[in-house]
Amino acid sequence: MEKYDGKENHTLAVFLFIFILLAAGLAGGGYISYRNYEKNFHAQVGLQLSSITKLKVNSLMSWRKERLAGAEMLYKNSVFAALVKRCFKNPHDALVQAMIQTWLENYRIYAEYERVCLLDAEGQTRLSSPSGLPPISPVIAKRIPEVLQSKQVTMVDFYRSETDQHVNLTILIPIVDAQAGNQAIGLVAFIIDPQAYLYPLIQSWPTPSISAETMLVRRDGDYALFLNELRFQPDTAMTLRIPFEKKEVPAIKAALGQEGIVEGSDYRGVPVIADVCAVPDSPWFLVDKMDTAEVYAPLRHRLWNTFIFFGVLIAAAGTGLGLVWRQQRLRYYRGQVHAAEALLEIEARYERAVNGANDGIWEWIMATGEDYLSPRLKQLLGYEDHELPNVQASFFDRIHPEDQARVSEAVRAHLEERKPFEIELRLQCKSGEYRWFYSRGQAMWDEQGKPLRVSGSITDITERKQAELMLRESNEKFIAISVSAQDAIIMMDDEGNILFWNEAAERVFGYSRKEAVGNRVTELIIPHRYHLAHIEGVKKFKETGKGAILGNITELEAIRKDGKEFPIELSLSALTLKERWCAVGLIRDISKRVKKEEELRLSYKMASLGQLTAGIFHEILNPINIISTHVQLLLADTGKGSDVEKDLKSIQEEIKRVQDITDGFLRFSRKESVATKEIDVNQLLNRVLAILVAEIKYKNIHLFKKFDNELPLFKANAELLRQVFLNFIKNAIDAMASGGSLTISTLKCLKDEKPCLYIQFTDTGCGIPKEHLDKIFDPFFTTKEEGKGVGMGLTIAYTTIQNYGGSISVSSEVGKGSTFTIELPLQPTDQNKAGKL
Amino acid sequence: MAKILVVDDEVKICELLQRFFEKKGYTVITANSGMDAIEKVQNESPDVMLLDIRMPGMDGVEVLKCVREFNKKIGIIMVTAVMDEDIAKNTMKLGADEYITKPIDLERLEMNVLVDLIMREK
Repeated sequence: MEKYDGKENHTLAVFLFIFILLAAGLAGGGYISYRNYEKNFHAQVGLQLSSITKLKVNSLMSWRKERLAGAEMLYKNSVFAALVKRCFKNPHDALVQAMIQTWLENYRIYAEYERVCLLDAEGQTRLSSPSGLPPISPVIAKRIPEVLQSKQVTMVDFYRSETDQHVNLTILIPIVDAQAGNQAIGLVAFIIDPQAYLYPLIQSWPTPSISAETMLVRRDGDYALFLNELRFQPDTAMTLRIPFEKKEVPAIKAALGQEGIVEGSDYRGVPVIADVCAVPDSPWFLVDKMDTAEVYAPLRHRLWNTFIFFGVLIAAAGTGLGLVWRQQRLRYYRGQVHAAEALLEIEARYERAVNGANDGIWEWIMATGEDYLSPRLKQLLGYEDHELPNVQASFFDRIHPEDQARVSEAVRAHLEERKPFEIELRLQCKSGEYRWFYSRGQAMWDEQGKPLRVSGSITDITERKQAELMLRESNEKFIAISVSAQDAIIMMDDEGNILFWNEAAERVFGYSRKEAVGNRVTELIIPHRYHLAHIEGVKKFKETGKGAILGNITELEAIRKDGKEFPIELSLSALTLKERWCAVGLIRDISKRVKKEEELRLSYKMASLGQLTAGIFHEILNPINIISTHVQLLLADTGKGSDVEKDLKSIQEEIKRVQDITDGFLRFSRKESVATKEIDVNQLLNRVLAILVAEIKYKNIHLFKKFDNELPLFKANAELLRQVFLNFIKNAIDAMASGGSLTISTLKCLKDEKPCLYIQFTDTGCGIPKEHLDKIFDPFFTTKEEGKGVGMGLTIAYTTIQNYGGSISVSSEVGKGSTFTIELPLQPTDQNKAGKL
Repeated sequence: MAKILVVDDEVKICELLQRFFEKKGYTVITANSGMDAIEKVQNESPDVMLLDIRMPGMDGVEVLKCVREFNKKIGIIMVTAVMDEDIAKNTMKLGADEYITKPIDLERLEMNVLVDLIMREK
């Protein structure tokens, strides 16, 4: 034993040594890594600060340069100088004043100056933009003589105006009269509000920061004067001064000519890191600074991270070594434990033999009142053998109250009627929960038929019971879902026979469940044209469980019991049932949705048509305008009565026609009322027919006119209505390529007690196929060959008649002809006139 | 004789109207953009201006507003397509004297110019 301890101490020392070595290595690594990071971080902070400073200094320089360049341009503008001279000479010349005012305004708006003023040599404001003549600040007034003397564009640096306390900069531009020996006659002052551009530029910072700020300072005697508002102290612009003695302040370092990254404390006394530099060509010094605390926050964070990381590493190394050490010790003890384990195994085997089967055994001996509950039975209920007394009550008191009557009845039936005792019951366990058991038993009777003893067993069947319960619940859920579903749910086997048909399916297709189940889907709901594809699909499905439309949502047609086809949305999925493939389809009747989509499509088409035509015809109008003007110029030069004049006149008429068409279209697209007058519809029809009479005769068409001679006048735009009639008659002629008859009738009558005009066009032409009937009023729908029509005629007619509150109806039969009926409601005024007529 | 400024971004229209009016004895200058037009009104003080409404960049309505700010005297006739008749009607409230629609009827245009000139004389 002693020998062993010595060995153990030795290994412990070895492990400790390895651990110390590892820990030292890791700690060293951590220190070096942190130092490296710190070095990089410092360099990065410096780089970031100086690039921000560089950017700002450049912006400030270019800002100054731009302002001065603008001023220089005005300084050299002799036209402006001449205007100013005139203005000073004739102070009441309003035109000159207006022109100068415009110049000033343009300069002000272009460069976003707060105010631009024209001053005379005495420093009086003569004109100003925005208008109003506020007196010039005394700071500026003091500088005027010097500028007039030097004739140089001068920038007056930040100053606080005594009059309104605003901080401004001002550029003074002398206006020089070149004719009077380069004498300065006045000046223009550009008054700059640093709030507008300069301050935001200075204060902007490219990254979010809680302490970063930029300051602009200039020397003021032995002080540095702050020119902008500061982040942490209000009202500093032009008021905060710091003496040169406070050398730790970065602003002072800047003012004393230092450049680059410096550390110090700022005007609040807070330690900061800053980049300082002078702005070239200006009296300004720029200071970009951030609180040291903010800058170094990531560094502190990193320090902690490094510390924790390497701490965890060292701890892990220690734990690892500890584990290895323990493992070694375990190996030793395990050998000793092995023998004890073998002993335990023998005991366990004995235990199992005693317990016998998994079942618990019970026995009631009526004659002696001896009862027995096997340890296994007690164990099934969660008790140790000694915890439960061997009496009947231990068993019966634990039966679930709901099961007690049933159990008593079964016991009675077995004992008296000798029915087999077999029952499922719930028994309460030690934990209080009830578990399901299956119990069977057998009694022994004496010669008198009195029971001597009963013995039996119990088996825990809780898990089986729960599985049964879940199955029943899921079955009930499925039934509830399929009954309440709005969509039809249909299941078919791998031959296409219907296995399941829910309530919604009965509603959608009209077949009851009895009619549907057992039949083939092809016979009931699939249109004939899909049969071949379906049979192919089912064949493939039976072999592979796969199909083209499986797993997708497909839109197609189905047939109802009444034979009508309707659009459906089908989502089909596959599953296996008793080792055969089945398909479950969810089917939704989408008739309503399809119809709504169709309506939407049409209204969208109508709306976009308006924009399209307007765009096209506006483009056409410009060339037409040019042609028309050319023709008019030519006509002016052409002799009256010559052939050339005739040709030109004819061109002019055609131009007029194009113009009428475009006007019509543009008005159509504008949907706006146009000039209307009282129209004799019969007369208008006759005029339209007069144009087409030659074509009607040529095509061998008989024309019948059934005009109502008492027809009242109708108030409308004659050109639009003419277009409508023309469209109908031309369509009729086109429909009768090999002759026929065209009947046009007009009639006044009452509809719903309101007076109406009926105009009817009946032809004996080719007719319109049924599938086209609902499309003929669609824009761009045409059956005519290319170049013969764009498909707009009936659209325009429809829109026009609708605008007058009327309607168009059509009936047609292929091969027999078509009838179009226009119905126009008469306005009250028309009715009065009709009465008078 | 009176001086007419024709403003249209279509160079051809400017040339044609220039030919027409010069033949009738007017002095005609042209401008092809809104900015150009304003400058010519300032520098060449025409009596009447024909101003197309639809122009790229500064359109006729903007030109009209700008010119009326410093010149109340010049006669301004707007030229427009049927489509923009509503805009044209509105320009009358902004200080235009008359508007005509495209394609331009030269006789009607000359009438309008004459009327404008006579009204200005008074």
